[in-house]
Amino acid sequence: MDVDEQIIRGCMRYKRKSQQKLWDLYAPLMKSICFRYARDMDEASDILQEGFLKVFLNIKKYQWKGSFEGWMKRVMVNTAINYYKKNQSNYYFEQIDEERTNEQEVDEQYEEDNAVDKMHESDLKKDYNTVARAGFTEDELMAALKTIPDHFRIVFSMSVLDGYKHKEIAGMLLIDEKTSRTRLLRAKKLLKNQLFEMSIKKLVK
Amino acid sequence: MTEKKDIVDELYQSGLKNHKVQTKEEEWKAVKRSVAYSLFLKSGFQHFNFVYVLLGILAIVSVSVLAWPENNSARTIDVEAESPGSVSSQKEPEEITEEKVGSIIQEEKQEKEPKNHVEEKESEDENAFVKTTEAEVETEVEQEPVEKNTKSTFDTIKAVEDQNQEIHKKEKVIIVKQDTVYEFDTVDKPKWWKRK
Repeated sequence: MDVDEQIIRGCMRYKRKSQQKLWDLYAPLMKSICFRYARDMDEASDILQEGFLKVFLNIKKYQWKGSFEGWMKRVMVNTAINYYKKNQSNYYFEQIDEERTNEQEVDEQYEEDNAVDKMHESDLKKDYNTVARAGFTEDELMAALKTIPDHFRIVFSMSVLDGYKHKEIAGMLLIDEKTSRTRLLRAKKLLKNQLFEMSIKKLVK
Repeated sequence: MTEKKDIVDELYQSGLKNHKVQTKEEEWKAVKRSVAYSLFLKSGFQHFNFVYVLLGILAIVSVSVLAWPENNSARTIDVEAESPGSVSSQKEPEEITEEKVGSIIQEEKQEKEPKNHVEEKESEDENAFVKTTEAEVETEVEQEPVEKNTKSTFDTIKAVEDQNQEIHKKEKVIIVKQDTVYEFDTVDKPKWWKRK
């Protein structure tokens, strides 16, 4: 029986000490996940608390299939998504035509992106090199992520960082699968620009 | 259609792989409080089942039932005290001794059946008693001229007055009984009335 299992079993019996150990072990990592979905640290803190409350109250539902960390991450992401949906009216929502985008439009967009990439391949390579040379820290990457709109950032986090498929993302965010794809493309585009600008500033210094 | 893995993906996947954000002690305290509160509510609702609700209702009902006769008797006494024509308001119950009550009850026993009938009606409702006795007196008054046509109007009025005096006497007896019973055993008063 490893330490994690002992802690988990303790938490299943609602032992305060085990709960604190679990918190000490996973809270920083989970807060990072929450912060990716939140707009600021206060929101991240709220999501983290809500997520841990769910973990402690529903830990008996953990079936010992897969890693416990993975289960916890899923709980945190779900909590963050619910938080986002609940406060969606407060979030800044850019008026874009993506909601009425059909499959053809998505394909066109994707082809357009590829065409742009091919046309300016040399320039983009320079950009990539510039960005790569900048050597961004975790905080800087996180800061760049915060500059893009919420609905783009959430899809990007789910897809790139948490490994969700577009079908799952669409189901969780109650959006179309194509919309999810479009959001991801636009998020990446915006991030590229942001990172390039940041890398230029950083290298000039 | 697959997304190509570009610099952004690589940067973020490698850069934020082990990213951690330090937590504060207050955050843990808040979680601890929330968990304790939620568990308290959860356990509370588990044990607070239908049986407890039923027992609670039963307890409230029994307390109400136990308290009712006392309130009822108090209300009756208040009505008696407030009614202007009642004997209890004219005479204090303390003035009547048990000997007097005994003799009056004995006298009452020797009286005729219709009078007892009147008493029974009176015991149900004081106002009804007054109405009933008055009606009975009127009936008797009406019957007297039929039986004794020779009697004068003055005699009739006198007879009615005598009857009224008797009624008052009876009323007094009853009220006295009420007060006596109330004085010694308040709770059993309604039972006494029923038995009578």
